[in-house]
This record gives sequence, C-alpha cells and structure tokens, in this order.
Amino acid sequence: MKALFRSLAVLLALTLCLSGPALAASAEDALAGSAAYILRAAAEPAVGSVGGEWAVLGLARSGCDVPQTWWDRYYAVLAEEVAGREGSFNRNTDYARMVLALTAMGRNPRNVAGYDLLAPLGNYDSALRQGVNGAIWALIALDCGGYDVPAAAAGTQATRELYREAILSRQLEDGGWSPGSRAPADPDETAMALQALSPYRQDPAVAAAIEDGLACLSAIQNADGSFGSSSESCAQAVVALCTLGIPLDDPRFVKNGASALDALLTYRLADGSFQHTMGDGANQMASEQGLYALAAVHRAAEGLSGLYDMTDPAAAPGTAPEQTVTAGEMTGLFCVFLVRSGLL
Amino acid sequence: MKKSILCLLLLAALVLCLSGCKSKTPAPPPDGEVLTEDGTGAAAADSGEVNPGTVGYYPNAAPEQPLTPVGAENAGQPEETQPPQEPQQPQEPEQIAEHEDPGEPEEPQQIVGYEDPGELEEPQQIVGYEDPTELEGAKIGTCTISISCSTILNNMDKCDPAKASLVPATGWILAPAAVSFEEGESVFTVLQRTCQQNGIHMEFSNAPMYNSAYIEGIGNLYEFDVGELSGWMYSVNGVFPNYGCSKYILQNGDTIRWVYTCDQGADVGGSNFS
Repeated sequence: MKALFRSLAVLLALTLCLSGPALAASAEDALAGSAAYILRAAAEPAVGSVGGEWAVLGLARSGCDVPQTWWDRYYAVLAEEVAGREGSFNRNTDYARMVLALTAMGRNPRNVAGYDLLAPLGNYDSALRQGVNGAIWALIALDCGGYDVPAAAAGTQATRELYREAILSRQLEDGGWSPGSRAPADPDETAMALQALSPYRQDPAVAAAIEDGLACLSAIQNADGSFGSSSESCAQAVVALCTLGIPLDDPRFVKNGASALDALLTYRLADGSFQHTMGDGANQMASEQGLYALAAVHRAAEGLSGLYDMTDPAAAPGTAPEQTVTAGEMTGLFCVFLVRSGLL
Repeated sequence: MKKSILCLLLLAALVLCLSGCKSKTPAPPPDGEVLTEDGTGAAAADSGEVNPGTVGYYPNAAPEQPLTPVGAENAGQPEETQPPQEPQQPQEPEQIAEHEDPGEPEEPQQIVGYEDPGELEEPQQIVGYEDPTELEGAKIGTCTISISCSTILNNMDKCDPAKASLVPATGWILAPAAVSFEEGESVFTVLQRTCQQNGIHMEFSNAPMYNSAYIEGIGNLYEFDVGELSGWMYSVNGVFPNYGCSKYILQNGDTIRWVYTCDQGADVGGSNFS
C-alpha cells in the first residue's frame, strides 16, 4: 500500500517534470521504449556481444525497472558458460565485456563459477593482440569498477599507463583512431578511444589527444548529424560526448540543425528497436548500442555518473536493491508504468 | 477520499503529459534513404568486444560435438585421443600432406567420403545423414567448399608463435571439395558438417536472436592470431557477403571459399570481416 502510494507520488512528480526540455523528454521516452524492447528481444539473455553483455549494460545503466529474475537468468547463463569453458575465452575483449556487464549489475567479476574474469586484463600482450581496440576495452573495463590492474599470469604486466599510452600512440594524423590504426579515422573507434581516455582528461597529454580526437569526430560527422553509415557509429559518438561532459547541442556536433542524438533517433523504430542501417529493420546489436547510448544521455541529463563509471556500488540494479526511490528509479518506475499501460 | 483526488490529479497530469510526449516521438526514418552497408559500425562495436561472444563451442573436432559426426569412419585421422583444447595439436597436417599438387590449389580435390566431383550432376545419396528417409523429397544441391589460410604464409612474422605449427605448408586446411546439401541450407551448416566429417576443428559464436553464427576459429587458427586485422571471411562465387554465413542460403553449384585474412579482407579480395 505504502509502496503503491509512493509510486503514485513519484508518477505525479515525474508528470510535472516532463513538461521540461523537449530534447530530454523525447530521449527519456525513447529510453523507456528501447529498454522494454531489449527486455523482450533478449528475454533469454546469452553470453556474447549480441543478446548478452551489452543488453545487460544498457538495461542496468538505463535505470529502467528490470525484473530480478532477468539479472539472475543472465548470471546463471554466464556462470554456466564460464564453467563450461573453464574460464577461458578467445579474446581479451570477451573478458572486458563480461567485466562491464557484471559490474553494471553489481556482481563480482573476480569470481564467476570460481573463475576470475578480470585477471586476463592484466596481460598487456594479450590485450594488444586486438590492437587499439583491445587497449581501449581493457582500460574501460578496469576503470568501470575502479579495479586494481590484476597481476599478469603471462606476458607483459599491464598498467593503466601502458594501455593509455597504447591508445595515444595509435592516434592518427587527423586526430582519430581506426581498428587497424591506419588512416582514415573510423568514427566508432575514435568515439570509443575518447570514451576510454575520458577519465584521464586532467592529464595534459591526454587532454590534447582528446581535443584532437573531438576535432576529428566533428570533421567526420555527416551533414545530417550522423556518423559513418550505421546507427552504431552514431551511438558511439553520443556515448563519447556524454562521457566527456560535452553537451549534445555543442555547435561542433550539430550539422544542419541535427545533433548526433537526433541522427541516432532517426534509426529508431516505433517498437523501441534500432536499425543498423536505414531501412533494414530491427537489428539486435544496433538496438543494444542504441539503448546504452540513450542511457548515457539520460545519465548526463540527470547528473548521474557516466555510462561506464560504476564505481558507486549503490547504482547496481542486479543485487536486490533497497526500497528507496532514487532519481533513476523514478524514471524507471515511470518507464514501466508507460510500458505496462500500453502507452509506449 | 484523499486517494481518489490524487488519482484524478494524476490522470489529468498524465493526459497532459502524454499529449506532449506523442508529438515528441522520434520521426520515422526517411523513406528512400538507403545507406551503404559497410559493416564497419557493427564490427567496431562488436569489438567492445567488437565481436559476438560465445555460445556454440566446438572444443575440438569429433568427440564432443552435439551433432552426430556422421561418416566419422571416413574422416581421416582419429581424433579421440587428442586433448580437447590443446591448441598446439595440428588437426589437419596429415590430411593436407596428402595433396600431391600444392601448386594448383584451385583444382577441386576429392575428399575421402565424398562423391567424385565429376559425378555431381546426378542425384545422389547424401553422405552425412544417418537417416536417408528424412531426406525423401528434399531437393539436393551440390556446392564446392574450401578452407584456406594461405595468407598466413606471407605473414609468418605476425603469426602467434604458438600457432605457427598449425599453418599447413600449402595453406589449405581443406582443399576445394564437392559436397552435397539440402535445399535451404546455409553456408554455415555446410561448413559445420564439412568440418565435422573431416575432423577439422571449428568454433563459432552465436546468440539466439542474432540469426547467424560468427566463425571465430577453424583448424585452431583464430581471429587475431596473425595480427589485429586477422580473422575468417567467406566468399561465395567470388563475392564476400556483408552478412553472416548462417544467412547465406546456398544455390546449386555455388563455390564457397573460407579464407583467413591478415589484413581485414584486403589480402583476399574482400573488405569486411565475416
């Protein structure tokens, strides 16, 4: 009864809030619908870069209400996979992805079915097998939970400085980055490098690299505000700007009146999904990246910690949270209400 | 009393709010605009792990596979004694060594257990199905499949030392072979069956809603084993599709080539990872 009353009060408050800025409101609506879509599409979560960790990250960081059973289901599937593979995966980014998901839902990545999924990130050589992308995601994963760099069981002992330097040294002439570290700059890799460097922007060398990277990102933004040729490129740019605290309407990132977020939303379908390219229908990978980009927008608008900054353990949703209504949960409750009422 | 007033208030506020929300719904995508697909976005993000994770897992060739390894008696060397995850264990060298003419890799070569490619036009029994009655009425096609990692031979300096011994001297993990398939089968199912029948290690990842497998490793050679731009790609009739191999439905007479690239496709005539 009391809980019901509180939700009603929350609803009222939210209703009043929503008469605020149009941009924020439309992004919030989109967030709720896209979270609901992912919950439907990935009702049976898997381990993998589609239908798995990124769905977990997006939902966890959206603040939208997700049944505890869903988190538990993902964790059970993950634990089974980790045990079946004896903790051994092919790519370092596999570990980085799982660390991000587990941290987002408030679970310990250092012990899943008895295996330490953070440990491989201590091996610099192994991470760099994937080039700059390996360094970027190792760093983001280490920083998401403020983890100490694990001792390397083999190869060169990684440090945050080494990963950072690997990213800086692979910056291209034009200020961007690309998966193979050769021109031309790739919008996704450039945006992801900026996301990884963001926590270190007090360092003058990093700050300069970020400025060059932003100049590059602005230069390769398309005339309609989009990036590259897919919604994922737009999503990564949105996340980069939000992570760096740059307003989405910063003139450098508005082309012909369209921001990166405007461009991203043009890929969004009425059911909350995102297309990979225009006209090709719902795409799961695009939908997951679209969701977490909207979560990044939401968090920036609400003054919450960044998408990949999960050092505040209270923010994790997968661990049976206390019955307190935070700003994020307020939005979440409203999301759920709208979805359940069939209004979205 | 108090409650009903509150509810009324809420309703009124909601109606107001929702009429506002409606107008802010994102515009539908503009018609007619079809952007060129280059796969970059998907690939890069997947890298966050830029690539699909792992659901399907073939630790090694025959013993632990979920599907029946039909024709195993013809599959060449017995695999049972090999440790399931030993990456050093060369799977194919024996088989490859049987190739008499490495200089002419394009020539279709018969694989033990398969029909002579010269007889392909006739309808024939499918090797690889235990229960032929299941196939009654099914249309049968024939395609050619090959698996090559010859690009590694020019990039041995970049090759993971632990994997160097797995690279066949000819570059062929499977020389072009004629195989039969049932109507509606994809490049993936044919690769999967061919690998099983020939005792070739293969690992793929998948996700229930992704609708396609992603080939991570064949013959224990994995993406990133030969530099940051290395991995498996496939072409059909010389064209590299920009979508997953489970989505490519085979036509009779198709030629499938699985090739290992060390340069994101540039060294094999394609531009995208599989």
